[in-house]
Formats: sequence, C-alpha cells, structure tokens
Amino acid sequence: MPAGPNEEVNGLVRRCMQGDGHAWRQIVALHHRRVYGLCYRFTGSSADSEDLTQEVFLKVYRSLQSFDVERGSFQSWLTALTRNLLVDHFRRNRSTQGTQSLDAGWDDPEAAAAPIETLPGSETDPLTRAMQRELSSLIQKALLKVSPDLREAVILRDLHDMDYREIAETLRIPEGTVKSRISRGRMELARLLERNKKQVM
Amino acid sequence: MTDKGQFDSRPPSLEGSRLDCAAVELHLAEWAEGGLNDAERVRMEAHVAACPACREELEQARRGREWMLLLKQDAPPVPAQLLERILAATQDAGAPHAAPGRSRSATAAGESAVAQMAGAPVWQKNSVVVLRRTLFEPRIALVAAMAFFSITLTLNLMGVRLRSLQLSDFTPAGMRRAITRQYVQADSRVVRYYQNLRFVYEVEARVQELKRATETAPPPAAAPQTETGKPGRGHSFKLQPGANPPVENPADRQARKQHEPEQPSAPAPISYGGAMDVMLRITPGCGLTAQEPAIDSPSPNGLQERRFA
Repeated sequence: MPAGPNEEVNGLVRRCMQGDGHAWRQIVALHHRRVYGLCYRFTGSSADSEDLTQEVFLKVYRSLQSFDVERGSFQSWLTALTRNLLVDHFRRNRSTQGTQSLDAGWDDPEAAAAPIETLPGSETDPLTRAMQRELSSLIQKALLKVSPDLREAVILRDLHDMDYREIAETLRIPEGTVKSRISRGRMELARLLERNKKQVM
Repeated sequence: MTDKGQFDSRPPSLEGSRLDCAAVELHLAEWAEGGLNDAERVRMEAHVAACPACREELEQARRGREWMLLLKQDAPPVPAQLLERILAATQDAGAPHAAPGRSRSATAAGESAVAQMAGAPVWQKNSVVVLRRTLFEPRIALVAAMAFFSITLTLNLMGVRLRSLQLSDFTPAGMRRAITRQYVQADSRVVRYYQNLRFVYEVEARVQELKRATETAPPPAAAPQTETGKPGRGHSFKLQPGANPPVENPADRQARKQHEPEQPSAPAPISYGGAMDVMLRITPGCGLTAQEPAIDSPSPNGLQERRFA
C-alpha cells in the first residue's frame, strides 16, 4: 500500500479537504483494514477494535485540516492517531482487564453469525487454514500478555513493517529505545509461548 | 535483557575489537530480522559464542520474531460492514473541515445511499448490543445497585415508603404538606414522650417524699422493739431499704435528732428540684431534639396513615 501511493494519498486528502465525499470514501476504504488490524492485534477483541476503528476515522474526519500534507506521511499520522486512541482505551480498561476472559465469548463474533470477509488468497485447504487460525489465536493471546509498551513497538515493526525511525516518531521515543523495546517484546513473546507450550505438553 | 546496559556509560557500538553486551542489545532487533551486514553479524556471533546470557536472549528474540511473522500471515478478518459503519458515522458527524461543502449534498446523498444498502436494523442492533454490554459491565451494575440502595435506605429512614409514594407527593404543595405533617407528628410525639417522662419523675419524687416521711415519722413507735431485741444490729438498718420499719438504736436517734432541722428539708428540695431541673432542662430542648425520635423510630406507616386518614 505505501511507497508510491504516498502521493496518491496526499492527493486524496487534498480532494477530501475540498469537500469531495468520494475521496473520503476512498481514504477509508484504503486504510480501515490497517487501522482495524492494529487495534485488533493490540486489544484482541474484535468488538472493541470495530468501535476503535470507527472512532479513529471520526477523529480523522474532524481533524483532517490539521494534517499537513507537506510535513509527514498520512500513514504515520493515521498510525499515531490510532495509537493514541489505543493508549486511551488501554487506560480506560485497565481496571477491567481481569474480566476479559469472561467477555471473550461475548466479544468474539468470529464464531458467531456476523458476516466476515474472507481474505484474498486464502483459498488453501480448510485443514491448513484451521490450523493457522488456531496457531494465530494462540500467538495473539500471548501477545496480549506482553506489556503494552513493548507490544505496540513489536506490532508496528513486525506486523506493520514500519521502520525504526517511523516508529520512534509515532511513539515519540528515541530510536534506541524503539529497538530495545522491539527485541524485549519479541523475547517476552517467545518466553510466553514456550512456557505455554510446555504447559500444554 | 534487563539492565545490563544501564551501567555502561560508553555508547555501545559495533566498532572496536570487542563487543559488549549493551552493543549486542542495541543490535538485537536488527540481528533477529537479518538486517545486519556480514561484518557486523560475524562480530555479533563472536560475542554470543562467548556469552551464554546474550546467546539465550538472541535466540529468544529470533523466535519471537518468527512467531510474529506467523501471526502476520493471518491478518485478522475485517468485519464486512465496518467500512459502511465508518462512512455512516462520519456522515452523521457533519462536514469534515472548515469548508462546508459545495459538494456536501452530493456526499450526503452518496453516503445515505450506502447506509440504506447496509440496512438500518444493523446499526440499531449494534447500538443495542453496545448499550447492553455497557450496562452489564460489573462495575457499572454495582455502582447503580449501590446508589439505588443508599437512596432507598435514606428515604426509608426519613419515613418515606417508596411503594406508597404517589406522583402528587412531588408537587410543591404536596411536599410542603407532607413535611408539615411529619413535623407536627414528630412534635406531638416528642411532647407526649416528655409528658410521660415528667409523669414518671413526678411519681418518683412523690414516692421519695413519702419514703422520707415514713422514715422520719415512725421511729418513736418502732424504737422500743429493736432496743430490746437486737441491740447490736443498730447500724445495719441503713443498708436495708424497703418494707421494714426503720430500726435505730437510741444513740443514733440522738445524733439524728440534732440534724433534724436540716435533714427533712434539705433532701426534699434537692430530689424534687432535681426532677424539675431535669424537666426544665429537657423541655426547652424540645425543639432541638425533636428530630431525634423521629429518625430513631421512623413511623412505619407515616405516609399511609396520612393517606387513609
């Protein structure tokens, strides 16, 4: 999505600021998966992520004029905005973290009737698909146990392919700290998963 | 990784002959991604070969990266209606910027068409689910329950029964009437209470007077009997109150006779006056303490009585 399209996105933003509703639709269509994915990997709840994604785009919609096309990429601006809302969300929910497992059945419509888009290129055989689902839900659970500071750094790096400098700008921390958080986050994840594996065996 | 690097003031780098653990930490992220060049990698591996702690960390970081890449292959499924939900929400929010639009009406038309396609019930259902979830959140439910109970309890203590309340009780006139009645009731209850108290005090004072009268009057008649009977028990009579006629020996009687002028007059005003004192002290306080009995003993049928009266 990024690289070349940077100019394209900026063009869309300009058009949108002039009141082009179609441009806004395109912006949302281009970016909502990414925002949703970030929220989902950070919170682990699809209901929360849906609400949060909506909140992010509402905020973008309202403050589009404060985005300076010349100064930075729309992508990092969007990521920083999402990240701020995630941090707010985390603070708000810190006291109810303990109830998360109880709510899991409520919040997870994956098994429920809600229509879900299948991913393009996922036409592999169902068994492999199911195994991958299982595995990623295991990893996701472990990821939720990684402390939020480390979690966000690892997600931005490994899942969203942002470079260290970009992450440093988004999180407003020095690049050295970014690197150390990323590797500490990865180490914590590996430890959690391996402990998990031992318990299962 | 802990805080090995914190105590090392030198800026860690890959230059120089030997790598320290802090430099390894700094380059761990890139190493796990395979992002180092050959020379750097060789030096890292040389350090790691000699440092088990760093080797362990390096291994963990590499495996953590692999787990993340596995997770990356399986992007979370995006709910199908999310895009439309976002567009509908932003449509409700109005114009996105300072320039409210020339093409705004076109936007609105497009978006409302989109919203119609998605179907209104979906939004309604969604908001209901969200509301239900918020209400059932344990914290909020607890707070609501606490508030409800504390309000009910307060009202109850004030003598208000929730069940017997009517809408008419909440009009200003109705409230004034209720308050006046409650005050009058409480007032009369207090007055009755103190009248009873006064009666008790008066009776008590009378009884004491009578007792003193019997104490002082009969001795001459009773004295001879005791004198002949048990002379040694003279002093114990004071400890024996009650029906027995007072028993004294002559010496005591003589001693008492000397005090006679003061004795009968002195205790009586004190005891009677004491009762009066108490009453006087209490009665003016009536107005101040009037609420206390009302709160302590709430009239359970306060409002009901009024209604049926």
